[in-house]
Amino acid sequence: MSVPELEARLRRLRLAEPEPDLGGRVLETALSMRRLGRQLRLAWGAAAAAALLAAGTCWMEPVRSQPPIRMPEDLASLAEIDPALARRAQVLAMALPREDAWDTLHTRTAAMKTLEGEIP
Amino acid sequence: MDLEASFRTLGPRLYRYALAILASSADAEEAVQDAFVSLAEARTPPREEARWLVRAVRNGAYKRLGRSRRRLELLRQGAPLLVPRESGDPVDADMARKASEALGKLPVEQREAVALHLFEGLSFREIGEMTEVPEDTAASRYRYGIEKMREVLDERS
Repeated sequence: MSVPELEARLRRLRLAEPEPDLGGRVLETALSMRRLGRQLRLAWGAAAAAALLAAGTCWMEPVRSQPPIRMPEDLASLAEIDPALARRAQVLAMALPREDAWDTLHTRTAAMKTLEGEIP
Repeated sequence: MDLEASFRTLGPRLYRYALAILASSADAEEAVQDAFVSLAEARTPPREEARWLVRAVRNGAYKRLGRSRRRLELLRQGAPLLVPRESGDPVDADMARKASEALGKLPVEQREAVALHLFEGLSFREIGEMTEVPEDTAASRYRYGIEKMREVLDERS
């Protein structure tokens, strides 16, 4: 096969798009929240960590009731308390998958339990 | 641009770029997520957000690549690097599988140049700017990379 022939055949291909790796993304989110929680405990103490947990709860809650997930309305109130924290919570929320599969709810519930165990 | 809009606009393209460097879907997702977390943490928003994100993804991907030597193992286990543009063609599907392996075996700079030029449609000048090398160097990396891919694919057929 010549290089031009190879290029022509490769042009029929494309780089893969991200696949919905539901469990992995939720786990990554949980791990991120855990790391963030640790940083918060160091930086701002237990009150800020509690605010983070509240943020996590509020953006998890719509998933349980009516997928797909939407940005939490309470993020605005969190932003008034701590804008930087609210922005980070928004990023983490975006990392969550939006598919409305029942099995993801179980995964998310497990992720929440992880968070609750990690952040006092 | 707010974070969600940036993510929707640039996320898939950044993911494909990270995938071209890392040859691992899981690592590519993490590199993109890390870049957006860094953006959220930035005290002042970058002036050229898209360019900033591309650089953040590239730097993060190269660091991740340096830490991990599991690249080929991940390639074998993870999602393919390349897929047919039109699904359902068995010839293209077979080519995608073989070409993914060949692309994964290239040195990272060559893989980056091949992926950006052939699959993302960037010129060598644009690749040079993105990867901070002269245009000729970007073109050379592409030529070496495509030639190596041809050798690997010829050996297998």
